[in-house]
Amino acid sequence: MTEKPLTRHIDPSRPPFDLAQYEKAGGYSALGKVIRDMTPAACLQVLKDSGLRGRGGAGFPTGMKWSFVPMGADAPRPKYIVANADEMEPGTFKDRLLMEGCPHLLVEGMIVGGYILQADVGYIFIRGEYVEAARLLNRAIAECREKGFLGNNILGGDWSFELHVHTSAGRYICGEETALLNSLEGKRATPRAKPPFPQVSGLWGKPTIVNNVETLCNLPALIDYGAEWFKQLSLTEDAGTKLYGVSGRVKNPGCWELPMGTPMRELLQEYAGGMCDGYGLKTFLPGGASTPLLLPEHLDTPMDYTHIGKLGSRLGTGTAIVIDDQVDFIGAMKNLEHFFAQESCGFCTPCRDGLPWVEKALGRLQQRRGQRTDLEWLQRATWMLNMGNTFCAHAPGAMGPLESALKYFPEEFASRVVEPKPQPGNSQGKAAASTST
Amino acid sequence: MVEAAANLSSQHLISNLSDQEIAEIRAEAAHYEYPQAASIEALKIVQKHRGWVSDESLREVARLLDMSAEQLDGVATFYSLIFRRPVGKNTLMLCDGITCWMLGCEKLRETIQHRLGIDYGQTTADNEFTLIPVTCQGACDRAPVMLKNMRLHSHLTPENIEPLLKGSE
Amino acid sequence: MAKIIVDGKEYQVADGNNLLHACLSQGLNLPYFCWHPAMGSVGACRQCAVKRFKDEKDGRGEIVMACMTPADEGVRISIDDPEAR
Repeated sequence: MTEKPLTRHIDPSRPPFDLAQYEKAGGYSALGKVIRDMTPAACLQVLKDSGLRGRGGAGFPTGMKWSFVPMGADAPRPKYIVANADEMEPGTFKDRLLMEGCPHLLVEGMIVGGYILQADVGYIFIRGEYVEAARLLNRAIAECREKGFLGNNILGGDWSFELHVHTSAGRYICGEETALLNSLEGKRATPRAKPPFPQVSGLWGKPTIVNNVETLCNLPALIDYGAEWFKQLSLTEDAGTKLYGVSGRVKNPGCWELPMGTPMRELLQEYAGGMCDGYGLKTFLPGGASTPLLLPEHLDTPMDYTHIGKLGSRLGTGTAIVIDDQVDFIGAMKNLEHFFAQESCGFCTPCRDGLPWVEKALGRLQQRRGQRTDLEWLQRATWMLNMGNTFCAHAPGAMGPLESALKYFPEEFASRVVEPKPQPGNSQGKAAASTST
Repeated sequence: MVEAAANLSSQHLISNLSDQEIAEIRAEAAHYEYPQAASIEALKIVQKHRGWVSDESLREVARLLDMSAEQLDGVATFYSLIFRRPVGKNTLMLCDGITCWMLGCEKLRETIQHRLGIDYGQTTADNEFTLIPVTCQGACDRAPVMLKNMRLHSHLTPENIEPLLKGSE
Repeated sequence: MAKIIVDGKEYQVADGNNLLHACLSQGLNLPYFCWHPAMGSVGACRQCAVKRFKDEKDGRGEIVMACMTPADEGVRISIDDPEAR
């Protein structure tokens, strides 16, 4: 038994385990167990019972998601399982740790997941910049192929499975699961309309599961030790452990595997060593650039999907970005919105055109050239670019931090507005109307 | 897989890609049901050998993968790590993610500007360096960071970045 | 034929169309750009937004794109709603 299903084999002071070392430490026991002793249905039941939720940001229950994949002899083939290793959410650095620290864990998770879904092919969709992680994963896959953990009739059973690493070439939107599938097919990474959902019609129209690296890395220990063990790892109702991270002006930024529901105060004070001397905590994004801001008064809230959700934010990737009291706050907002504007795939109008407007308005405010109309536009954008109005969740994600910033720190925005000098011909009435809104 | 192999057998039409490039692209294409799926990796292979993807290379890769050149250019121009213009011998990719920004990536940009005389998207006159901004590199615990020729350098300051601005590693 | 309800008024429309097609065929004014009957729906321009209600009691509704939503029997929408315009 372990309390750290994800990081127990990770030690940054030495190279990651090769296959022999990983096996010696208990690795691939879950693979042996599922193939020799368990039916895919029994494995799926463990997954459902465990309460594991997707670690990529949305927090969808993994067992439920997987149960939509058609099973049995007449299910469409081939079926695919894809690891989303396109870690590009600003402020997020957890999947890199898993893949560079223990590539065999993800490979085992993929093979076990592939067995549960009775998939034929797996892809690890990894961002282009993670050169070292891709190299380590390719080596791990080669070792498995040689050992017979991949290929035809794995461990003498009747199930065959292949696994490949797909290295991408940038663009945040590739992390959106349907855009990822388009990208994997060699197309521009624009999201697809849902339904149909990928579980039924995904890669090349075939049943496909896309899950985050951290989610898949939970599978081996979950199979080894069971659903009840997994649930008791957590401090709250949301099961398991979580890779939490803290970055920004803190003494010891880093990423740690802790029980789900560990409060931010503990992360910040005990693990991140507190704020740097001379800096105070102004606000923080709990789980990446698209998660709405939280305040110092929220520090004691358990960091899980349910509790953070109740505060109007999201746990996201669980890697918090700390914004200190000395940084140019509007500049930080502009940096975030610049990212989202640049990374819009350009497919739908509100996102493609709206986000650059948001960035420009924030840029004017940052330079203290902003006008009241800029503030009005930002307010308007927070509903115009929100859920339902855009094709996918990219622009709504961009509005998360902005909307909460406007709510919690209106004075930051207002103080950057310069009133235009009255110009000849500009009627009094008009000026009054624009300031009253 | 069979289909992919059949399409790739048309390689005798290819004039300009090296045997090495064709072999590498072919190996990638074998991982997928359809050759088009290897388009991004194929472009990266060409880029690895030539530094960037010219119109001519693009046309030849398209033919190899059974796509139109226009279709492939749509892909090439979408992805930020595919260069459709020549770059210098060394690419400097400065992370402008939120954490790196808060911890001073703009100061690094100024240092590079001052030292090499280039801003984002520009190449030095001696063709040694190209400076490009990149999104969060997933190393926020080591911010600010920069990739030089795809290798990560972390905890950068205007002082310790200097050796990285002195030609090839 | 299917019955759809637009801003409280009932219309009989042909089966198998999307809401945009159905509304246009009834002479209702719904702006659109990226849809064309021969090219199908892509949902990119976001101009044909309408508000869809679950039933007559649903007062909140949700914004959907008319071109991406089938004109099924009993669908209840508003094209005059301020949020949809």
